[in-house]
Amino acid sequence: MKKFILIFILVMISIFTTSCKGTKEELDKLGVAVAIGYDITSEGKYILTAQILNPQKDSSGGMMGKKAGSQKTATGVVVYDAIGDSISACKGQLTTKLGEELNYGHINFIVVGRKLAESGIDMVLDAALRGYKMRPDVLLFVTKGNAFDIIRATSVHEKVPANEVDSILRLQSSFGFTKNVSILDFANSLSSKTESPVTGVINLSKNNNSDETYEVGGTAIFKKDKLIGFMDMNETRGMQWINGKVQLGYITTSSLDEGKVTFEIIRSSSKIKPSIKNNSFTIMINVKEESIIGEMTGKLDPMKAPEIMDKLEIRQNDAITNEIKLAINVVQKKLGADIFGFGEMIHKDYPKEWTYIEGQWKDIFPNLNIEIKVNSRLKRPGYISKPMD
Amino acid sequence: MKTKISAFQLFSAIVMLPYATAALFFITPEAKQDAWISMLIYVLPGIILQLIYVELWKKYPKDTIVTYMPKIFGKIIGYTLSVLYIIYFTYIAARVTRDMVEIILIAVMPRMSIYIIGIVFMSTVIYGTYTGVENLSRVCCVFLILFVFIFVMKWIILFSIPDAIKFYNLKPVLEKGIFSVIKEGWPLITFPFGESIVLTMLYPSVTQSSRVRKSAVLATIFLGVLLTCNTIMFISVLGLNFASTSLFPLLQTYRIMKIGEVFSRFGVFFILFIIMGGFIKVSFFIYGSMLGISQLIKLNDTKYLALPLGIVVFITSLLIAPNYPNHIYMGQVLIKYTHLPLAIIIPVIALIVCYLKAYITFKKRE
Amino acid sequence: MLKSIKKIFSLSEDNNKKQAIGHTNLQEEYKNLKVSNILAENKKNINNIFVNCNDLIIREFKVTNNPKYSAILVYIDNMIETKILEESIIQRLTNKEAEYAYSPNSKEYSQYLLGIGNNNIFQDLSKVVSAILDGKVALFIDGIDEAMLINIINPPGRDVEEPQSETVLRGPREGFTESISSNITLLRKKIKSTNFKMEEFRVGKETKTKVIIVYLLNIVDPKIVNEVKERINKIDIDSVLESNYIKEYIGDEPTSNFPTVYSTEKPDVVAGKLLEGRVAILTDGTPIVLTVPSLFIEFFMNSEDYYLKFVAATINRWIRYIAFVISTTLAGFYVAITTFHPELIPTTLIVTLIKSRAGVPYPALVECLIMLSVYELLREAGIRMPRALGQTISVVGALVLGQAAVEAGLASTAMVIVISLTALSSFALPSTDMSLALTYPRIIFLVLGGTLGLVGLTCGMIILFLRLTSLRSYGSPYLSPMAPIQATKLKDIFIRKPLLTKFKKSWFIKGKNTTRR
Repeated sequence: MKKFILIFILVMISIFTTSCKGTKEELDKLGVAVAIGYDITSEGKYILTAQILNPQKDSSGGMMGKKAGSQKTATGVVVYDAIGDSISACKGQLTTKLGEELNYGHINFIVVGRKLAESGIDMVLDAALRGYKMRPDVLLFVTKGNAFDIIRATSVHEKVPANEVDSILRLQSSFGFTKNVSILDFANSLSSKTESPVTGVINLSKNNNSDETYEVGGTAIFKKDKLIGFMDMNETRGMQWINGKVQLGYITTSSLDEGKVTFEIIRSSSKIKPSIKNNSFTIMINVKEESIIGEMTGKLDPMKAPEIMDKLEIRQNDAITNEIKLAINVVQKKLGADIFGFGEMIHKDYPKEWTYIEGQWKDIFPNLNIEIKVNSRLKRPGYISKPMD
Repeated sequence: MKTKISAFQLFSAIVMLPYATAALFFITPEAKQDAWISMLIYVLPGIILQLIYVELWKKYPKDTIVTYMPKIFGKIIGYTLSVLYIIYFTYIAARVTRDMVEIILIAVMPRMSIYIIGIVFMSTVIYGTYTGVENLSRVCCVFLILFVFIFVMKWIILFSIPDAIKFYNLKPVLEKGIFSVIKEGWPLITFPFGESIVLTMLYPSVTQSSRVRKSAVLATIFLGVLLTCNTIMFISVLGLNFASTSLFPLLQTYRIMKIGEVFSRFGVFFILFIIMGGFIKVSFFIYGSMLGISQLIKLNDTKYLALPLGIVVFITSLLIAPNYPNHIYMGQVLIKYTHLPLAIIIPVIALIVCYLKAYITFKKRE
Repeated sequence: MLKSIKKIFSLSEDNNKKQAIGHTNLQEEYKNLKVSNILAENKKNINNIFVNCNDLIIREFKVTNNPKYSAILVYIDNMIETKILEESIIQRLTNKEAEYAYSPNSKEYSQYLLGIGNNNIFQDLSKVVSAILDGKVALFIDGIDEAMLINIINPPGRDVEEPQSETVLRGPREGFTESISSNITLLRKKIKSTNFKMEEFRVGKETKTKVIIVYLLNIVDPKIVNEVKERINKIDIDSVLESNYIKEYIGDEPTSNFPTVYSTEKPDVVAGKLLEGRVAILTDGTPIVLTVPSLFIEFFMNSEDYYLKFVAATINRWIRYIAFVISTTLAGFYVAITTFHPELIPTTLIVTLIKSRAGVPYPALVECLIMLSVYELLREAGIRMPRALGQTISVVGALVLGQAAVEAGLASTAMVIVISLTALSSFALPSTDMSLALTYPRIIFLVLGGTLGLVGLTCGMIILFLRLTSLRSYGSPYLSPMAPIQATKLKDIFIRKPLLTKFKKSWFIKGKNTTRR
């Protein structure tokens, strides 16, 4: 009997002491952030912009029977921002506006403004990795303007704009117009001595004809933690060919006769292997790809003459090689940044030689011999055989 | 010994005890990407260590390490050593408790009071040791099966995520040569493999005495394999740099795992893992020192020491270090000065003394 | 202060004792009485003992209608089959003299006419009285100092019908009744073997309830039988109205929440358990039969498993295990995650959860406790609801626990689902003992989860597991074959193997080894 009373008292004590402390995080008192943006002001202070979930409380009617024409198609998020000396100070500052504590557990991506990227994102990265609630596969993005514009933008068909960005990202990881880099990958590239980290790029595009939408495309290239340059969409796709990540998309080249032909990509893969030739290193890139004909103009009929397919394949190889060469050009000649990790690959396969050249990799890389071999296969022509003219 | 354990329970205890804390960390980051090779190599010294323990036990089949020390070394040195061992076990229990509580505080609930978590954890441990070692071993068996199951699931899920495992992170293999790997990895013999010295207290309780040696050796091999796979997983999934800098690579790995888009929060398993593993480890250490004390002062029932010892361990765990880095640093310093002599050197010397004595009596008879 | 209160209570006890003494004196008196050979004296004694018992009937008649041979029949009305009494017994006794060597006023005449064995002839009046109370008919003959007992017991009772609390989809629907003799017969119908042994006890000072233990001699472990017998003999209470009274005395861990004695109402279940080497205990007056020893895993097994094909049976078994886990931990888990670990909830779910929790004024833990209490109330009320109102209760229950609470802002939709799941899964277990035993861990896990998060919940689960492993039922560990792992026997928990593969007799109970096919 005494034991029970003792246990009961203990339980009561524990309930009361722990419920009074700030340990609990009640769900409705959480500021669940779905997207975060960082910027820097001219005085060197950080600006934090957060897109916070604001679940609409449907007052009457409850969960049963949504009243048709529910009042607003307003977004389900609210955007806050705060200025502080450091990232965490910003978080603290935010509480003056937001009555809830920021919760990072559901963030899917972080946007960094251009100025901040150029001055160095080391603090951003450290805050993200050390803070215990951010998952390591949160994606990192740079924007050409200010991060708060991106975070503030509303989307048309999603209540939570971050979800729309999510869907774009998910698709882009196969289309290849941007690279989805998580803070884990960024951190790993950053800590390597020779590799240059990259992130994806997100912008807002505004046309006269359509509404303002997100545009995710391109890559931002860093040296250590400072931004040094951008690659546009086509160059990015070239980079993704090398990484073997292009699984969807279209390639357009001129056809064998006067028309144009577009190939629809089914899958691709790549193998990178360093080797030594003539006392210097060569990187062999081997890309394999499979596609079908997407659209074609002209007078060719692949069904009548199957060797047309072989010739078209050669065209495709050239097109892909061109894209790859674009990327390599930018990376080697213009920026001198080893974004593919060629250095690390040489380290892995030829550790002894690597010790000699590691220090001079900066100078070796721009002149590194890169051999590209593309092997593409064209399988099927689609529904019809020749263009109807 | 009144308590009875089966050989399989001993096996699971030897596997679980070091695995509970070793799986959380990235051990020997100095060996860089060859850490897994050094782990695999050090299984051999681990086996030899176990064989030494089993040999010592075979000379005195009914005694635990606390009681046969006086028999080997004579009363004064022997009893001092026994007391030293008991203090050692208690200290390790306090260290592991502190580890567990700190991990929970860092990774799960940072603002919770350390006292409350400590009390809850210790209450579980005290209850566990109170119910006796047979219960503990049974629970340990079940936990082992659970852990292996989770382990296999982890690998399967990681394989199903595209690009999560990058085996090329393990290259270059043996970059600095195999001797450097062996040299960098020497603490391994104390940290995972030397901790099972506390389980020598359990050897007399095993019912099938003939299988003790086989169980111990198999357990060490199994443990080594598990830890090697763990290390491989950390390096290939997280990348070498991140795995070395991150304090809890296991947690980060769990956070990356997801099935499809929905089931993405495997952090739960991490919490379960550390509490279950930590519970087993601390319970066994406390049981070891409980048994030792009761054997030294010839107490009949070991149950009642659970509560006072538990309180002592809890208070010690709070006092041993003011902050987490200090705690870890002390642990690494300690390896040289306490783990090494107590877990390795003294048993070796004891075995040699045993053989010498047997040789001398043999000579005397002639 | 306490002492004075005690004195007051004991005073009233003294009064009660005085009254009781009057009675006991009388009862003690007749203990030493013997049947006399003067009929009138016997009649007077019986009348004295059974004063104020109107249902005692004394019938006088003359054997072979000869006025010299008087006899009386003493019985309790309604306990016997009156038709047989009239047609058979009295008829026979009052018929004309049969062609026997015995003279009609001798004991042997009546004895052999009616076929009464020697063990039913007593000289001791107390034994005769007990027999009359049991429902037998006592025959006193003038000039003979022994009484004869005739057994035509037919007390009012229920017919054999399907038990309400254990329904099956496929399988026999017979259930035990309150009469112990019919229960024994139901069992014997299933096991027609000479190894089917039973031993009888009388428990309870006032009620003198008949308790019979049953076992199969060639399979059971004699130590268990002896243990059971010892414990029953030690029972020293006034009344045994239900088998639960016995259960508390012979069960191994009376303070534990979890049942260590299995109780059931179906004879095929008991027969199955007997064949596994267990001992069954039947109590007169209740259809619930106990089996001993009993392990944790049995409460998840159903005889129905063996009446279905093995894949379906295995799936059912797994559903039960999952139901057990859900029933104990879901509420605590939900409260722990929403309170302490919101990062563990998938993002898409968190929006709806926040929405549903937005209107509720009190924290999740309190809300859950309230809902749980309401559910328990509902369950209790539902048991006692008269059948006509049964429909009303389901509607009221749905209203209370469901939408209305949500809309009033007293509960959140997610919580309603959690509680309903918990409630449902607690009834998925075949044994009601176990379902009811689960409320206690459930509340503890809820409190632990709500105050200490997942850490507390895990510690609570570990403590529960430890507690279960330390329980013992008649020497076998409670959680066999999981806790002391017996690898070969472990398989039967997870899959119910097809009957074609030979499986040994129940693994976890130490007993004689026979292979059971």
